[in-house]
Amino acid sequence: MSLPETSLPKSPIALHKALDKVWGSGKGWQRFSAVNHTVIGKRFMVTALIFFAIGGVLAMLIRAQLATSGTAFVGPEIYNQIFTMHGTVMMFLFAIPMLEGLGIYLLPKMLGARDLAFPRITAFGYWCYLFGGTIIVLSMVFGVAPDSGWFMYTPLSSNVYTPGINADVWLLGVTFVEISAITAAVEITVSILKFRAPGMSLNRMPIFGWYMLVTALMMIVGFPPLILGSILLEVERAFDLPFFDPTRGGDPLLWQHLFWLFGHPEVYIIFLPAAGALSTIIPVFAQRPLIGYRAIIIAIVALAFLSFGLWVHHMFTVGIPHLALAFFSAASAIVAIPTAVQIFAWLATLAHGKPRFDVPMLYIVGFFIVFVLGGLTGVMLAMVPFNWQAHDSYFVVAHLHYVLVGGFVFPMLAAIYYWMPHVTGRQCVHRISVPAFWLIFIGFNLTFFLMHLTGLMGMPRRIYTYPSAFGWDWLNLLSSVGGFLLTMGFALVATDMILQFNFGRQFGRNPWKAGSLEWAMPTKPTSYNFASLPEIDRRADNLDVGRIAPELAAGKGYLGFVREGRMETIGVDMTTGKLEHVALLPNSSYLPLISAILTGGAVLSMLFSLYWLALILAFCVVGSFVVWSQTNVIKPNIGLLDVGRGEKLPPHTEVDGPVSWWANVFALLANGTLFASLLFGTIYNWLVAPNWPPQEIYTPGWLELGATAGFVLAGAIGPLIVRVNRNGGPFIVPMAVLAIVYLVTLALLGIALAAMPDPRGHAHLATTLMLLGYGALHCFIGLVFLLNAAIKIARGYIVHGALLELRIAQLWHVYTAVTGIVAVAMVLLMPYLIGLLERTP
Amino acid sequence: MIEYKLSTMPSGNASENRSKNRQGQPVRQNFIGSNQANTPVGSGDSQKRHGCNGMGPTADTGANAPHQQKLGGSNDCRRYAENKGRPGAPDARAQEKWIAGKPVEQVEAQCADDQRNGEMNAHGVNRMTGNGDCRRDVVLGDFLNDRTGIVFGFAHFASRGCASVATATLKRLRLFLTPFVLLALTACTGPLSTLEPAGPSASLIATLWWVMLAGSAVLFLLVMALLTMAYLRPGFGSNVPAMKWVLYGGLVMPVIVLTALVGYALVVGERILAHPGTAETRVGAHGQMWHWTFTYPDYPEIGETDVLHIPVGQPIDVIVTAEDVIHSFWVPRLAGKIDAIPGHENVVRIEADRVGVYNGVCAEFCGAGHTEMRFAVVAHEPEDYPAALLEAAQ
Repeated sequence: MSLPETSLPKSPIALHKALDKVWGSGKGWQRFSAVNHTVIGKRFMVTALIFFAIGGVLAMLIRAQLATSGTAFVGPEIYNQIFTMHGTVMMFLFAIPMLEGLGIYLLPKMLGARDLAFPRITAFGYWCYLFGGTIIVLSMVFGVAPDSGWFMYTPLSSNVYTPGINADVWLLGVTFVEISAITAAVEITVSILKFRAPGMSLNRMPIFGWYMLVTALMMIVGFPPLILGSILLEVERAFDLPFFDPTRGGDPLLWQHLFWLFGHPEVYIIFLPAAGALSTIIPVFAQRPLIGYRAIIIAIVALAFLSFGLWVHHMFTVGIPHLALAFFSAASAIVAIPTAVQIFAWLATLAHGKPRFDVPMLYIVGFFIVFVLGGLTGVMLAMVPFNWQAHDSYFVVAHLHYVLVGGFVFPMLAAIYYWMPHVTGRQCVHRISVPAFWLIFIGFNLTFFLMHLTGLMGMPRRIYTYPSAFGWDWLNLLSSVGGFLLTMGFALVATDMILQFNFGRQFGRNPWKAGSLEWAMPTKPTSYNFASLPEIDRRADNLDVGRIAPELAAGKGYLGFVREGRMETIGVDMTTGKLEHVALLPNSSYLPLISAILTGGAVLSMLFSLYWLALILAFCVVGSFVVWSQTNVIKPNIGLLDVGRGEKLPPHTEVDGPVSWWANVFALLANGTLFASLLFGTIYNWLVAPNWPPQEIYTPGWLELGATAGFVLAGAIGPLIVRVNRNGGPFIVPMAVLAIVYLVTLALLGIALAAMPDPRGHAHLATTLMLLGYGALHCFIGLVFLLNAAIKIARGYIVHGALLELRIAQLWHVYTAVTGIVAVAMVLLMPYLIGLLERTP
Repeated sequence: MIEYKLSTMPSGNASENRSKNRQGQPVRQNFIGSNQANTPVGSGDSQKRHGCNGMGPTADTGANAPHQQKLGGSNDCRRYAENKGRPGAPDARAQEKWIAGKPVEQVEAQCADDQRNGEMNAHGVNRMTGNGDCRRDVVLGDFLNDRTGIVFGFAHFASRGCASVATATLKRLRLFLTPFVLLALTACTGPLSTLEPAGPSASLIATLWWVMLAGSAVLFLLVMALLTMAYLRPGFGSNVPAMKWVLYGGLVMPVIVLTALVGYALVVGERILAHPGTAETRVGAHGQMWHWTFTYPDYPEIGETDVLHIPVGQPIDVIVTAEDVIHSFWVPRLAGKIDAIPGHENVVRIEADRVGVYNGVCAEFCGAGHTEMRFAVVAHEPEDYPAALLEAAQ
């Protein structure tokens, strides 16, 4: 391909105009079509902060109710909604989206890319979050907010004891938001791995990138257990299939295991990005590079693994044998080590440097004090005997707020003050930043430090009032006073932000003298981030921003031009950061909004038990995704593209491992975790739940064997399609065969499911239905893949040698085959396993 | 679901029946811990320490005088307690209000009344061991036995010092410290306070807490000192190589501290555990939205009560079950909590050192009535126990 005319050197202004025309998001109604990561990242953070304010008001209501003994402000029904919503809003609608927003906004800028891997998915994730969050919050207005606690323990949350739609709001709303979180996590993972500046090998990546990479991977593995738990519980509530009901072979503890398998890693998922911000900010203010870059990376990877091995420390009082508890206790204590490594790396950085003070540093000192205390009480709670006393008392309330506010809110406030100039292009004027900090710091400690004692004096959590005889009055009153100070502090911070946004002092480049790439661009940022992309030759948190920035603006880096009105950025080799391909990104689109509205409609239909409508809307959602795939299609056989600086690279459709292929790998990893959780649930109920063996045992027959054969065939034909295409053969033939295989397998599974005894009778039958249903659903989606490819073949986009679409579909076919075989094997094995149960006395 | 009514079964067979047949009864036994033999928990030393604790609920109107004597290291407390604290004896100074404590017999009579009336809620509010000042002295007495000496040792040294040496300086120090120590101790006591233990299990855990608090204070101050130094004397840490900071602070120190702590906690946990076959008495606690019922498999003739009656000075295994949703059985002054989970059977061991009424709460959120799901445990002298049970059952 010849050198495009637009690649000729231009003046920086002309280059800016040309790039902004392609990358800009549009005004007015066109804002709804925005897919740009800067725009979406800001939307995520602002929305999260609004939900934070809502959660804060709820906290104030709690403190008002508990300020004195015997308050008649609200009754238990309202109070239960308030504390459930406080926890839910803060965890799911504030903390997770806030860190996603921060990552979405910052990562491409720090890593030297122009956008994230899937701009439309970013937008879709935002709309899902907004709609899901709105459903959850609006339920409060209608008085049907969830009221079973943010942990939703069964049987309390089952439809026997919570008959209204309150619990359904939680299950559906949170699942909606979680799915958006997983899409964001997949996108962040592949963006970090593939979309970096050339030369930025993994060991040159800024430390924040490492933190977000580990966080995103943890989300991919950590969220599916809760999503599965929510699906099972919603199915139990809606269709009366028992999974957690102890009278029908389920077990309430299964919910707790699934919930905390998610819930504990969640704490680290929230903490790590905040720690990443600290690791970025502290060296800037210590005026020396971060000490222990490698040690920190090892520490956070270790933390990620450990955090999946200690969920049981939330369940020390459920009656698990003491020696098993001791194991989890030790694991919980060990997790303090990676945290200590980070704390001491930061301390060493400060102690070796020449620290200077500014508002972000105030919050970092606040972080040190609050978080270290939270960590110490965390170690205390990890000790089994102490946990038996402190569990579910206000001691835990104090601990978790010290960890989450200390480990997330304080660093986020530091981050907001640090990066706010980047977002607004204006610097903060100190007047009210400092008193705001002191109000927050004093208010926080007054509120929560005393709660340690309140808990040790025996105040259990989630009681709506208490008599004065227990001696908790003065503690609670002071906590409430502290709470209101804290609120005033946050109100001041909000005021400060608004003032800064409107009246802040404008500044030249790089106000903090930082060494990372996000400052090597105009602030506030342009839609395309960098007018041209840099070549990185050292660790990317120690760059000479003052030298790089003007060169990039002048178009002297890679891709310093516009080609055919396309949005382009560079994809690199995962580990070495060598140039690999040009990623051609889709432009602004209303499709994400439309798909999110359809998904929201499906969720609402399920909420109001309109299951047929929900099914129709679900089909519409699938259809809309096919439309996504059919728009912005890239022509086959483009060949090498010029990227400037004398380099030519293929487009992403013509390399082996572009982001879309890797994204599917990680999405299937999440899916696989969900499937593994389902297997875990099946085996757990068999092993532990009461009322086993069941009276009616499902004995599989030739239908299941036929389905197994179908899955084996799918696993063989999927790769065959790709091979035939590569060899220039008629690849449409194996595609047609695979479609028939899928249809037959679907039919066999359908007949098997229809002929099953009533699955409402026992957890054994209910899980069997879920396992076979899982296989059937995957066959159906496999058909959608084939249909999508067939349309592209008809439109001339998939020709011989255009492998990417087929290779992505191959991943799905093989995954379907493997999980389908395992699912059916599990069903085949169940009668034998139940037989074992009968033989043991 | 079959209701849990131990009282209707022969006492010896109750547990075997349950564990054998999963189909019939949705209950699985979940004994914590192994079968190894173990020395009785809460052995002599604990009881000795509580030498002056064997009193009934007391009401002391002359509050301040005993305090100061006690801080002076006098033994008045013990005498005082022995004089008036004969368990169950009517207390001449008892007041009319329950909150100040009543003689045990009266309390029991009232328990029986309440049971008939089904007024569970009143217990939690009004009934508790006497909050008389002498007991606060008892807490001080515990400190003398080094139970929590690490934290409050300074106060103890100060107070004992002034009794014996009586120098002017120390007197002033004593005058200065006394209100603070009293405040700190008052702040920690209460009818549900884990820091005012009344049984060996709760005592062991309280000690664990004070040890951890002291250790945490040291670690916290260390981090704060380093942080302060970084600002006060820039570059002060550059004498120590960068990686040594991370190695010693992040790895070596936590490994040492945590190993010791985990080992200590494991030993404490093993001592607290309800090792099967080592308890003399078993009682059942059944949680139901939103009240508890208690049963006595060792006394089949006794039906259900809604106040739990136990004998003092011996370990009692409470078999905790649930009817509907998850509850949690927690008597903070006696032991840690255990969840009551439908379909499961959990065991927690409690033991009271002295006669009295101990409050309990439901610690797991269980719906609209969670707050009110309180209960009371009444501890009797062993010789009075059967009679008290009979009376309670009527």
